[in-house]
Amino acid sequence: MYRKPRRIRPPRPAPKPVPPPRCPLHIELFTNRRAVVEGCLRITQYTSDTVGLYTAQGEVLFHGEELRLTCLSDGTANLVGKLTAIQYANNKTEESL
Amino acid sequence: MTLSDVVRYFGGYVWFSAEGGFPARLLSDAAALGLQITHAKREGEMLYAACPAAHYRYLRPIARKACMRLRIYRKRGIYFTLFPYRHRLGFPVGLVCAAILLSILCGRIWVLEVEGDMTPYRQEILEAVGENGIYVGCRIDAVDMQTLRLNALSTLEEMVFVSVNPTGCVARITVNERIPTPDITHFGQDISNMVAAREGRVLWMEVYSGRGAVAAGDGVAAGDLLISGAFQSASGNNYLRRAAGRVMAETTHTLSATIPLSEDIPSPTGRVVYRPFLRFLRWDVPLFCNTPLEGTYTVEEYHRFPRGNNLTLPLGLVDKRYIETANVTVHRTEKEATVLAEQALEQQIQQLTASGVTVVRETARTHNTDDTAHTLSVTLLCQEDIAREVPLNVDILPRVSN
Repeated sequence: MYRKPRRIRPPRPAPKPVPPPRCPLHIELFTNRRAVVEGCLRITQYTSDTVGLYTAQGEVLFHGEELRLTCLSDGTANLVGKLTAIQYANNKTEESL
Repeated sequence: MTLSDVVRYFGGYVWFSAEGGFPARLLSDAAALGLQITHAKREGEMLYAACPAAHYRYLRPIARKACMRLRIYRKRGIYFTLFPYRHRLGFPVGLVCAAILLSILCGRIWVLEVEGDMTPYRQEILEAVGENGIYVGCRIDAVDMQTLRLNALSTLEEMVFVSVNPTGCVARITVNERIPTPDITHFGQDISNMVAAREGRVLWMEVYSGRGAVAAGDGVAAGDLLISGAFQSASGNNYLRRAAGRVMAETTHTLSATIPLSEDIPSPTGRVVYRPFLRFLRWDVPLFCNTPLEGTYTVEEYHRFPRGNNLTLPLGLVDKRYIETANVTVHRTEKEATVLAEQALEQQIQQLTASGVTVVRETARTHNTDDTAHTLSVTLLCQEDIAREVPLNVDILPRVSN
């Protein structure tokens, strides 16, 4: 039985890297349950108890329980969970990481 | 469900788990490439997250660099819902047909309802509004209410107000019945006499206007003057009036009924043909492919239409029952013909009574049978008002003044 040959699609181009945000660090806290962080460059740590975000002003560590990143795009991180502490770490540059 | 969830549902998204390696690096690299990672959650060594279906393929090289292994455990979205049906042409065809039908039918009237207790006039009302462009299947925006009111009211003499209120695809017809005005008798306008409509003997009379020309006990023939509209008073003055009154007289009516002894009557042969139709709005789609029927048939219709919210929907089945009939010569005996003749005679007497005639006495019935028919005749002694108004043409000469 003749079977129609499968058409091979050309590979899609990979997405281009998004330039890192130039906005300064901006943190908004909604009680101790939610935090919106703008100006994230990278995620340095991610466990259910600690989330580390690297920004232009340095690293910020969020400590808590059952932490979740509900949205992560355009340099903005939406952190949900029971926040217990926010810690500002040493002010490293991005190249040194 | 938030708006972003709805948008994601249309685009399609996958839930995946990532195991081992460096989840922070995976998330950072994904964000750097503009991939939308949501609902990220860490449980032990596992990372659970969701991303749009189109972005998942770009996550794989990133996960490899982060030394993580990805695995999809849930797929959601329209794309994944419809994917199993991608080879079924019926779905898109049905969707297109549904869209076309909706666009066509939304602006049309499906159901016509007459509001109020208008059962005796329902058919007349529907015919009257149908002549003015309102019928099942017509366009709602094409209805000219002002013209409809004028035209429909001229057709429906019993109605004083007609209005059609379209609500969605249901047109409710509101009508108000006209309250008849009482007759006003103008005795001084037209000049008339009252004459006898048929011969008889006057029993009593009531003169409302004019002067009586007969007395009780007088015998009158058809056309005799009973009440005169032109009379002279005792003082010698002449009067011209419209005569009015009642003259009750004893009259005779002769009725007869003839029943033939042999007659051709259409009778069912026993052959019945059922033919179903699909009725949509006012169009019938035949659900059969038989040849046209030949012969004489009587047709009975049975409607099977679904109902919803006390409305009969415009789509349903109509079963037509064609009963073949043929002329059969019926031979009656004299006894059968007598029974039928008496029934026909009773009907005639009932019609006579309904017209205001009181039957006082009935003479003996006369039966007469010849070779072809049986005739039953009866003479009735009745009482009825025999006065009938006829106009009186009088040329009034202008009065000459000296």
